[in-house]
Amino acid sequence: MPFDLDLHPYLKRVLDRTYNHEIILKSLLHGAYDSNWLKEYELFYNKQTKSNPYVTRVLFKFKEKRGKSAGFSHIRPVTDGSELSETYLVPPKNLCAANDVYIKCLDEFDAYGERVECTPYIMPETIFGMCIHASIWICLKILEKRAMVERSLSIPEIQNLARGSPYADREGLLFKQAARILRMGRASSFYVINVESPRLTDMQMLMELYAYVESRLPVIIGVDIADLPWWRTDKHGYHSLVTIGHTMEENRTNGFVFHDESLLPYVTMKNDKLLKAWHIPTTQPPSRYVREMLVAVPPEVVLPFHSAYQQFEKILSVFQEKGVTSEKVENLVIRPFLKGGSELFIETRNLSLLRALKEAQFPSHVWAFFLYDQNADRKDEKSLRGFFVRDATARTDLRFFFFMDEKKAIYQVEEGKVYTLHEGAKKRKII
Amino acid sequence: MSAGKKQLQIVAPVGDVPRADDDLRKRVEKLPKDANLSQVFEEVSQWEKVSIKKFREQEQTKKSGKLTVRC
Repeated sequence: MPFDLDLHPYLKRVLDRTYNHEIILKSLLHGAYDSNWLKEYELFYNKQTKSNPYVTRVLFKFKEKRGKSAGFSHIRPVTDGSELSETYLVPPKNLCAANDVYIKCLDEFDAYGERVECTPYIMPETIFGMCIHASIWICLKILEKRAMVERSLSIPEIQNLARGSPYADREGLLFKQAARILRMGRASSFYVINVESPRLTDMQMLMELYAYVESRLPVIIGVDIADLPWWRTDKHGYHSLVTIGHTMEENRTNGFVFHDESLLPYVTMKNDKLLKAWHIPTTQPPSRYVREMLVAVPPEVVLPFHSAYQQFEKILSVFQEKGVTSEKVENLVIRPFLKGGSELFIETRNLSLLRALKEAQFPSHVWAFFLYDQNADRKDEKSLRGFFVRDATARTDLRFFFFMDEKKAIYQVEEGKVYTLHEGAKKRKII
Repeated sequence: MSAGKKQLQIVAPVGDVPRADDDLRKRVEKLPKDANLSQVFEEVSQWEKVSIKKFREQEQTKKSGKLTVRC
């Protein structure tokens, strides 16, 4: 059966606008299995004569001769307007590190017998869910791959957990409900909003977003569609996006990469456009934008980024006052990560650092802030000025600073005892 | 994460760095000038406990997320 793209406007739009036709049809598989669609079929579409329990798997490859496989998309046989069910497509070629685009939520997915390096994508059927349900679906797929949740859920299952019925009937969810669903999957979650104390500024909200995305965690944010350039509409509406990466320019993160479940995968937006769009729509222009974001973190993690960051900054300023280090936070650029303690690998021949690290014994999850010179050459490892590590589970007293130039570690492993260790020093010293 | 030659990547913050919150600042400022670092770390630990608790409470009570996400 030939595949007429004109009959599939949603897929066509993705090929036109996300991929600019750099991927083309490779093959088709009719009667393919799709676990999300099967649930939707069982709960509603089996009543329709034109429907069947299977999807059409459309496989793509890059256009050039002997072009690599680009993944696949599942087309629902019947739809209320959003035809793409489970979709595993590689990012477009221009979204790569060489162009200063970093899609942090990429993983190699083994899906339905195909191996694709991508961030999974889906469009919601409005009977069972809206954009927020699809956002949760995307997050759960990413977290499942990293063993952070027991299993991912179909969109009707997400709706059922949220409201006790699998039918959404065009009703969305609150961020709080979305947070609960992530917690029900045995992840923990941080729901950050800028309106209450501590009131977070625009830059702080961007920094929060950046910290989790840099940690390879997908972040759901709420935006007004009227301010999204790719929607091309004046109509206001509250919409969710999943943040999956960021873009950079001259050593600064200047934008983010998103999956928009209603329109397009892999879209980018610069910080100024994002700040304009990132608010709850109101009829009057708000004097202060209300900005919401939600991120799932490993269940043991209790320390949000801003708490880790604020203590880092305060302690660093005390170090400066007391002459412990000459590093100034305003002269540094910081790369934050939320990491497994065992994943934290520091390549060094510095014996004092090695001794200190051995004593510190990093716990299961840590916030690690790597400090770089603000004018650093990105390719030059010498621009690494030091790092800070704090136990993200807050179960231990571990706080660990290291400054490269001074070859000095300052750390706490038990309450009330802060040690310093210099290169060449035989013994650590309590300070 | 690695500081090895091949793996090193620098990703900078997006703009001005957030300032330490007032509660933490006040706690540290209250300490005597000659306080040692152990006392500063202890004060930070106390602040962190309160900060986590406060964040969790606010997560439960925030009123602004009334609008459902629905587009």
